[in-house]
Amino acid sequence: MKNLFMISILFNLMLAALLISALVYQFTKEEDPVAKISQFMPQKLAAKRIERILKQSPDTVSLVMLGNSITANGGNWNKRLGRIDIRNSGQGGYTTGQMLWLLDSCVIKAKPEYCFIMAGINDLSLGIPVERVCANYHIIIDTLLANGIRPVVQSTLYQTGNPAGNKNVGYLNDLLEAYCNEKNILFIDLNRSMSDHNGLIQELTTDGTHLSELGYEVWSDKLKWIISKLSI
Amino acid sequence: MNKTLLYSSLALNLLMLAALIIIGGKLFTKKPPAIKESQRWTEDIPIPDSITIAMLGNSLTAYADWNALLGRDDVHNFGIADFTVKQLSWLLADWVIKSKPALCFIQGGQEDIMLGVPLERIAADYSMILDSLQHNGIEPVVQSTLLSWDHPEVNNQVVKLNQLLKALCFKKNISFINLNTVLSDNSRLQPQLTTDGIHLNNKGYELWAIIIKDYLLLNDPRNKR
Repeated sequence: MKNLFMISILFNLMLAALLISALVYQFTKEEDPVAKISQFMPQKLAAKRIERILKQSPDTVSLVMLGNSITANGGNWNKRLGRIDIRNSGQGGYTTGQMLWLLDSCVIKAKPEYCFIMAGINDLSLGIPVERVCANYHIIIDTLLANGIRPVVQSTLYQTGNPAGNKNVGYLNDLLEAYCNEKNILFIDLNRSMSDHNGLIQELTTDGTHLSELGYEVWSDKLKWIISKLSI
Repeated sequence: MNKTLLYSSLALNLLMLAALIIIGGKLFTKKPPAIKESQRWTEDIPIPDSITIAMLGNSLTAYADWNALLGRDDVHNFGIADFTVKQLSWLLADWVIKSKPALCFIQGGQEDIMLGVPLERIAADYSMILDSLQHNGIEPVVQSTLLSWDHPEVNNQVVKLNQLLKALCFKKNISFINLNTVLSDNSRLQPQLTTDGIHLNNKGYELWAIIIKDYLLLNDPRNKR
C-alpha cells in the first residue's frame, strides 16, 4: 500500500514536470511563419463554380461538356441531346487556364467516357496569346487521356463581324486540329456549318458571340450525329 | 487517512495525464489555414442598398469581411475569387455602378498574370474600369497588386504592373495606394501575413484595413456630405 502511494506520488511529480514544460514550450516557442504557409491551390479560386456545376449535374456521368458561357448557356444538354448522363461543365467568362482549375473536380472525378471541349474565345478577348491558349488545351487533353477519358475538341466558334479576332480564332483552330491529329483524337469543325464569310452566321447568334436557340439546334444536331457514331 | 491520500494522488495522476494528452495533442496537430469565402457568386448578384464604399477585386478582396475590418456598415464586397481585371469589368455596369457607391477601391491582376494576360492589356483593362467609374461619378482608388511570398515569376510581373498602374493613376489624377510598402519585405509578401503564399491571413487583412482607414481619414465620402 505504501509502495503504491510512493509510486503514485513520484508519477505525479513526473507528470507535473512534463506538464509544466509543455505549457512553457507552448507559450514561448518561436513560431516559424514560413512553416505555416500551405501550398497555393488555384483550384480553390473556382470553389463556387465547382459547387454549382456539381449541384446541377446528374449522378452518373458518361459525357462532360467542358466550356465557357457558350456551353453553359446551352442549359440542359441532356434535354437537347436526349440523354440522362451529360454534365454541363460550362462556366461563363472562363478561359482555358481557369478551366484547368475545375478540370479535376468537375471532369476527372466523374470518370466520364468522353469530354467534349469548346473554349478559347474568352482567352482571346482577354489578350492571352494563342500559343498560351493552345498550351492550356494540351494540358487539358493530356490530363484527360492520362485518366482514360476520351477528349473531343470542338473548334472555337468565330464571332460575327470581327475579322481581326476571327483570324486569331482560325489560327487557334489550326493549331488545335494539328494537335488532335497528332494525338489521334476527334476534332469537330463547327465553323464549317455555322459560319459564312462574315464569321458566325447571324441567325445562329444573339450578340455575335453567343448562340441563339437556332444556333444550339444546329450544334446539337451535329453532336447527336457524332454521339451516335461514337456509340457513347 | 492513507487510503484517501492514495486515492486522491491516483486521481491527480489521471487528471494530469489527461491534461498532458490534450496539450500535447494541441502542440503537435497542424491546423489548416482558415479561408473565409465570400458567400456571393456571379450567377446571383444582388444590388446592395445604401453603400458608400465598394471593394472591387479578386480573391484577396473577396475573402475578407470589409465592414468588420473597417468598422463600418456601408461597405460592400464586390470581390470575385477567380476573376481577372477584364472579367471584373464585365460586372461593373450591372453591379458596382448600379449600387451607387461614392468610392471604389480596386485590386486585382494576380489572376491575369497567372493566366498569361499581357501587362499592357491588364493596364488597359484597369483604364477602362477607371474611366467608367469616373464617368459615373464614382471615385476610384487603385490599390497596388500584391506581391506573393513564393512565386518569384509572378512577383517580377507584379512589380512591372504596379509601375504601369501608378503611371496610369498619375495621368488620370486618381489615388494609388501602395499596399506592398507595408505588406511586403524585400519585394515579396511577408510570410507571417499569408496563408498560402498568395492569400492573406487575419494579420495581413488587419494591416490592409489600417492602410485603407488611413486613406479614409482624409477622404471619407461620409464626411464630405
